[in-house]
Amino acid sequence: MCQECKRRTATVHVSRVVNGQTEEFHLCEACARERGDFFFVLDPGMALQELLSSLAQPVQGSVPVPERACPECGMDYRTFAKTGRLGCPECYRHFHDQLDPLIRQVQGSVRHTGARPARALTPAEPDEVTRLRAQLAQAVEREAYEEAAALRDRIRALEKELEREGLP
Amino acid sequence: MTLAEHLSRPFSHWMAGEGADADVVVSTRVRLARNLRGYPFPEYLREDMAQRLLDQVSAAVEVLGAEWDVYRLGEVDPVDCRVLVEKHLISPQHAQERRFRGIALNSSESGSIMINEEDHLRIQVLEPGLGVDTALAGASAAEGALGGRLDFAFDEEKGYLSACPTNVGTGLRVSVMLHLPALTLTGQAPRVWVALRKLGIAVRGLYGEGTDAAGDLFQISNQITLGPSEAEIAAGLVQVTRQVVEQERHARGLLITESRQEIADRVGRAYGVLRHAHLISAEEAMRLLSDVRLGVESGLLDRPERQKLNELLVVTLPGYLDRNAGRPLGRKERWALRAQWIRERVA
Repeated sequence: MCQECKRRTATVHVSRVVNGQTEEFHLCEACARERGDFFFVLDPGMALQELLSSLAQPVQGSVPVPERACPECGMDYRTFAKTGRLGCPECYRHFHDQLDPLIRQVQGSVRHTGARPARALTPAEPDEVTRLRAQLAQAVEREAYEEAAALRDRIRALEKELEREGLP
Repeated sequence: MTLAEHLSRPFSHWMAGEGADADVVVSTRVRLARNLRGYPFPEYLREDMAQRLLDQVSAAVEVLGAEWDVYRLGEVDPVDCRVLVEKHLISPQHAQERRFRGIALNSSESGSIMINEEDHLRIQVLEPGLGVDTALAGASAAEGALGGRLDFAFDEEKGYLSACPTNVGTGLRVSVMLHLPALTLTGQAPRVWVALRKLGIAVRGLYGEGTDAAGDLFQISNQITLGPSEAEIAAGLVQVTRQVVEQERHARGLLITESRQEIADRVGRAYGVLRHAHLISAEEAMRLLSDVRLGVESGLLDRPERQKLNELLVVTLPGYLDRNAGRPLGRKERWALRAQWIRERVA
């Protein structure tokens, strides 16, 4: 029963942590709306996001979950499977094999045909290689070899890509 | 413009009551999600990076001209944030965790940019009525100008990269807010929702989840963001919206011809209560305002005008009432103040 009006059935259940204290609320929709502090206009994408998160759960026989976290932001695939949100733009490339079927399932397509940046930005600019090389040098200096290895892989992948596209 | 000026004024551009199909379509929202290359998405940003990003985007917003201002939510009172939510200028999620978050607003409030929400930028344009083309043109223009200063993460295959893959590609969400009292009253709404969902269109009540909408207000929006172009997504949503508008008009026509007395009675009673009540809950206000709106749109009432009705959708909400009172109100005080606002405005 709604704890506010004590009449209608409670359909909104909220727990909130304020200064380390957990408060729980069980309200009907009308009272929740009246209180206002649970004012919620949900993003229309929300339901889809939930669906996506459930699809991202590893299933037996599907593409294996990559062990290695994204070299750019450090997020692992399991976190994405839980939240439905990626860590950084680079995650799209790193988790490409897992994401592609997922995106196809949710979006119906994996190919963008809409607007593009006015500035001619290519997916892997030569600048990015330069930036990564500098990062690699710093990593070696700090003796952070694991990070350095990841950066080296990244640079190789980018260089291959640039070659493919015939860019310097 | 100061934030206080935005907040104390009930009116926002989307409330004008003008534009195409404004008898059914209250407003249109177009938003583009964009992220900066070289930064993690907001949820994973370190504090110093979040701060740097906020600074960088704030500086870039200057390119949009003098009518735009950036406000840092960390410096904004929670009640003020709630009013921004109630005016549809930011999302509830954006108002909750305010540190390192920002909002850019233009003076008419037709344009707003949430900074460091789920994505680094959520560029949105709100228009009254069915104004998808105008809104998309506005959002694209702002996006283009900002793109000259900010390096948006873009992939040749996947398009614009977003924190959630449900927004990847165009990053475009087009949504329209519809007032559908006749489809609801005649029990036809569920059938319409099933049809829309098959077309990949999401349907929500304006407030809260599910399609059991307060005030018979519903939002419909595209789900797919990758594959079709921006123009195709927009055109698809306009086409579907027009069909729903036609169905609602048809249902209103039927109600008026076949149950004129019942509808006139319902509308008249709603008007009477709103005109004379001294204590009113948000729920009752929403319900009666919907009846009055139906009365105005079908010619049974000649006032209040649409713009007043749209403003009432916002000024009767808790945040707006509290802010205007200058303190958090108790339940009864809120009901009294709400009733007073309504009495003054429907007269």
